[in-house]
Amino acid sequence: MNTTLVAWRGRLDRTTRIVALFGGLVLTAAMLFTVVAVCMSALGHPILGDIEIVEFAAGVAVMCFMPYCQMQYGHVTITTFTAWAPGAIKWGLDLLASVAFALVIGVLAWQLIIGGFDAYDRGRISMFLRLPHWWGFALASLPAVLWVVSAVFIVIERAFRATPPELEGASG
Amino acid sequence: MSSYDIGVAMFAGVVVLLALRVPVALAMLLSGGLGYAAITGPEPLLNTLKTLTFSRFSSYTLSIIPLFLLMGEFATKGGLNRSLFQGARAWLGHRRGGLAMATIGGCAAFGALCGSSLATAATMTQVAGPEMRRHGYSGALATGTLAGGGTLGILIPPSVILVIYAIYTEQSIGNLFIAAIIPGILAVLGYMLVVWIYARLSPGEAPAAERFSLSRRLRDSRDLWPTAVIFVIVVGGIYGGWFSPTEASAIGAFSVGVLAVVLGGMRWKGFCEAILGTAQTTAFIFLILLGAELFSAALALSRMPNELSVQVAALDMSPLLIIAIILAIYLALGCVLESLAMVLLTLPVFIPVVLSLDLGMSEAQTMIWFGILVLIAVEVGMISPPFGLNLFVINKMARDVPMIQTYKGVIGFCLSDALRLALLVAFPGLCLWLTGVR
Repeated sequence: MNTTLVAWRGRLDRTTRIVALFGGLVLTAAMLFTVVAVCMSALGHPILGDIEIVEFAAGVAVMCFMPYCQMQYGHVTITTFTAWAPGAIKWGLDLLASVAFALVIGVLAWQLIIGGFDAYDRGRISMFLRLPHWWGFALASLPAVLWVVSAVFIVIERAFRATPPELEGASG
Repeated sequence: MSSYDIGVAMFAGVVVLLALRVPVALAMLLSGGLGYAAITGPEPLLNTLKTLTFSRFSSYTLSIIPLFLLMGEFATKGGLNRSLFQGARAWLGHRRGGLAMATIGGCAAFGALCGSSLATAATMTQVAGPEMRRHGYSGALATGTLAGGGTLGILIPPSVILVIYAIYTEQSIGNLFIAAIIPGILAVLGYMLVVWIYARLSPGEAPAAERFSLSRRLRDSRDLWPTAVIFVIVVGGIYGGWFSPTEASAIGAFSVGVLAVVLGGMRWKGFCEAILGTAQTTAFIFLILLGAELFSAALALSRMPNELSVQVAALDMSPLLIIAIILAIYLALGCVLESLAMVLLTLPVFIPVVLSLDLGMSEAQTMIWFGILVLIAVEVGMISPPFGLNLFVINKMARDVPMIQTYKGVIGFCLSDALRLALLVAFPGLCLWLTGVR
């Protein structure tokens, strides 16, 4: 069992990293595009609908970051109150939390895909560039599915490994 | 169960979930979602979720956050931490306690490129920590200074927390950035004063380092100039209306990226690391934002915040006392809660209360002033013993210094923060004067 787990950890690590890097490239492209747009408008040739492109890129990029963060245990958890608890209790709580997490992410991804079909059916388009809304939903759906897979993997990893890697992230 | 009770239950739910090791974003999504469904039924919740996720992630205003994070990552991976510390060190290092003052200065310069306290503390610890220790600085002073200095990352704009506060309260990001400048300068001066007093009281812990020649000083501080220029362009540009905050963050990230490649020798590998760092932080911030969106929507539906502000008004207490109580709550919460979650969970309740107070300021002024107070309260939470996050990050990196020493070293900085907070409560003009908001 454990070798299968390790193999899947490796596969998902690679995949989520590549997807995150892709998201980063999209974000970088949006950054460069914005810089160009600012220069153009300073020269008197504003690019129409530049905001829509940035929004589109940001949405896809952020979704591409989600699976990576999930695989890295990147969502902040407050461990102060349970610092006293024995390992088994912490393990059980973490397992429960990861099950709930996978369920919530499943609902989010599922509704995102339904939202995409809605946008397609209604033929909604953006104001300036007339970009179909469903394009964004469709592109975001792919990393969203990977996000669900990652969350489910974390449940299995938590269940089979006594001490998952403690990786911390925080904002402040 | 009345909807007011649901609002209260949501808060209780979040607290319990957080205490039980549920990740912050998940706790907010769960209690927000359940609260929403309890008030409106499950169908409207699912309907909201159809568009909520993607519309939050693809928001033009919010895209400022990954871009500022990218800017901070470029500054870190491009080795700007080293050169900024060297720059400050060249001018301050030869004084008693000078290396600690230089750390504060380096943190302030780095904070002008980076909007995160933890990232600033961590990156500056890498360069300034060993340097201070090598010159015989005590572990307490070295780690305390790094913890305090790290908070300049959020006090000095750009600041992720301030951006989120501005978006949330529908205030201008530019005004809040400008409002943070004088408090930021006060923080730098206050921290340097703390170091100066510390070095007076126990000179053995903070010896002077070697003095550099003028030409060496000028050479070492060459990277301070582009940093200052980028800061002025980004912050001044937003304030002056030359470009939108998102445009400014793109320009800032782009120019720091160029700086990292040209001066810091960042290459493809460093670029990938910067991207992955940005990816992780962006992901967890955006999921918290999504949770907060759901949470505050449900809270607004419950009308609990409005009723609470009516109740508070009925207490007929002095407005300043209420502000003091709110700040005390923030300081207490800051010791145990993650900062972003703390701000996002409390604002829906505190904002109506604060706006209902008669503080002799316009609504916009009140919001800006309160935002800076919240920012400082959050920042104090990052460094207050025993649970301040900065302390943990630094403790992990500077392994030879016991945590108790770090606690001892940071106390002076906490006191300086408390004084500054009191000063800003007493004189709102310190925040408002530069903004010119009426």
